[in-house]
Amino acid sequence: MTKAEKQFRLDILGPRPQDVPARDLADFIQKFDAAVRAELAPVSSEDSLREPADAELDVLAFRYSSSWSETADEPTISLVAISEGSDRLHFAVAPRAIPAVARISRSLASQDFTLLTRTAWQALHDMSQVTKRRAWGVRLCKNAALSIEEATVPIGGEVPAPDELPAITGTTVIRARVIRAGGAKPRAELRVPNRSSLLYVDVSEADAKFLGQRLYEHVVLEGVATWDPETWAVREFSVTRVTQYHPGRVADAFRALAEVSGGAWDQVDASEFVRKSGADRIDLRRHDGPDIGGRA
Amino acid sequence: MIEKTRRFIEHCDRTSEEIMVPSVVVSEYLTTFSPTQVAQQVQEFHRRFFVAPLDAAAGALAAQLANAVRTNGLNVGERHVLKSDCYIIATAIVHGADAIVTGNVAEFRSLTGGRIKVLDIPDVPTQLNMRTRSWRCTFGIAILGWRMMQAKFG
Repeated sequence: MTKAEKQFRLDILGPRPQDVPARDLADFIQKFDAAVRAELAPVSSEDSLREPADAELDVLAFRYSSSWSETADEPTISLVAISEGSDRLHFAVAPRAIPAVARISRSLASQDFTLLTRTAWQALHDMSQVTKRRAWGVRLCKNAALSIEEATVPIGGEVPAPDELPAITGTTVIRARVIRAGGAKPRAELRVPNRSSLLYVDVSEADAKFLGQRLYEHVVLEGVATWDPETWAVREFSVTRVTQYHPGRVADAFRALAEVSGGAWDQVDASEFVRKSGADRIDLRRHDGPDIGGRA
Repeated sequence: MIEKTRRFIEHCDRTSEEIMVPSVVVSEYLTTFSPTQVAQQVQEFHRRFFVAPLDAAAGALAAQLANAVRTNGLNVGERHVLKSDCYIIATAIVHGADAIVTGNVAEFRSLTGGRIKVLDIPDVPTQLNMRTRSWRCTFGIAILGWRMMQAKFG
């Protein structure tokens, strides 16, 4: 595939070049890029055998850990040229992102956004809010070599927002950091994973006393949770029991497991065990090796 | 491998890392024990680790991961292995693990879809001298670090 064939073009319909604010243009591009990123396929086994650059790890991780940098990422699409004033945007596309752009073009052309992940669908909706506000249209130009179809969001048109997904509810245990516990009506204030704000839960007096003695420590609580089905953040939680979880040194924990194993692992060659387990998986992945049994 | 894992676990203690063990991993680990030993092992696991369950949210996410594999035509091993790994990954994500530490980086990385870091067992320099025998039981266990920052392990 030649370099020229790895490019696609987005036309902004409507405005004169001098009427395109750079800020809105950047916003538009950023949202289209977000849609492409949300559509990226998981890396293949072959690709994932290489060690990723630190930058790639950051890109992969940022949605789940705000402490990881979002700045050092690899481009999926890059603006390489602007022609005809400021309304024809030529993008180079990374090979891994080509199917994503093609899928986005198909969904825009057919108006079937269920072809996309919800994140990509939402990003396209957000992009169309930018263009609608500025009375722009958008045309994704056909590129048969990349399976990109011609698709247009007309001037004043928009991509509909995805419907809100129903929350998921069920019994679980959560690990939480106790920030505060007590009060006239006993409650606990908890820091839980995947959620930026604190979680407030009603507890019994006895549990409030217990949690009050574990301030700024991690505890494990049993109960019924309601999760956001996109971020997996706990929206609500009702406590049924506070467990006796008390983590110590990890080394001691593994030593304790060894002691209650009754020597079950004494005759096991750990290196061989791991080697065989790994070989099993590699052979299975290639689908051309002997069947050496299931996972150990 | 043994030395590397031992040093990594020592490192977790030095840096106050906590370990999450998905219930699916506990199940895999317990297959070699008698019913009496299973009860003791389960008790120790719950006392000393956060054993993250495969709950409704993790089940739903695991289904999404498995569907993504089918949709994208990835070639990642047999169905039962794929399912177990999707359960482990989904449990880690739903319960807020920062990273998955595994000896099988390639396969896990291919399944996560970029939703969570997947790291090989980090090569941490030796600082303490501990007995090897106690570590025999640890190597069939996939471990998940809570706060395994990239900076710490390079």
